[in-house]
Amino acid sequence: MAEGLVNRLRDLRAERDLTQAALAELVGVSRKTVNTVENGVFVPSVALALKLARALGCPVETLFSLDD
Amino acid sequence: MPTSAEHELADRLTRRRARMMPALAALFLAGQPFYFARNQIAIDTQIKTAVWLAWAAILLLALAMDGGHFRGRAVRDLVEDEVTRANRLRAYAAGFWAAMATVFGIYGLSVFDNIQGRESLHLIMTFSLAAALITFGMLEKRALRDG
Repeated sequence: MAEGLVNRLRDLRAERDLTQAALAELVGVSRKTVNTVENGVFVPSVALALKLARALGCPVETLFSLDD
Repeated sequence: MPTSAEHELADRLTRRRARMMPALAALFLAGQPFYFARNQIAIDTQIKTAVWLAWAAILLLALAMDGGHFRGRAVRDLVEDEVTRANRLRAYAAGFWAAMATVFGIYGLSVFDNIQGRESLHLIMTFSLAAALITFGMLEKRALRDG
């Protein structure tokens, strides 16, 4: 995970009963992308963060926030 | 938007590529004794050099080129996602540092032994390419790992 970045993607995806593959299809990215973002291995671009937030129906600040 | 079938195909291609890259690097490294074996294997030096250069060029293209060719734009975009592009950049960086380490090694060795220019280039290319391929494969494998 990037230092100081809190990521709630896994929780929000689970709340909506979506698999990684299902969310990936909704966003139009690979399952690998969703997996790496969830695991904190990869910090997404602004565009991808916005797409993820839109697919989950929440503001991007709910999905990603700073740990301060 | 890509279909489920395109997603599955892209996933398969990505996994295959992640397995292939380190395997190709291992094969490339394993072939080096043939290049450096002097007077033991009756193959002309020019042929050995040409074969090695062709092999290195193929590997370089495999590393640099987008995956998912001939499978359509949607599959290609999925195979070449943000994560893959970032992993490739990190692999290039690993190749650069491997090249620098090899250069330092060659400078060190040249104090004790006379190393030819072609041999130096061969070593730099071999270790930097192998490092980049292995790094890319490992990063892609890690990205595919669940949890």
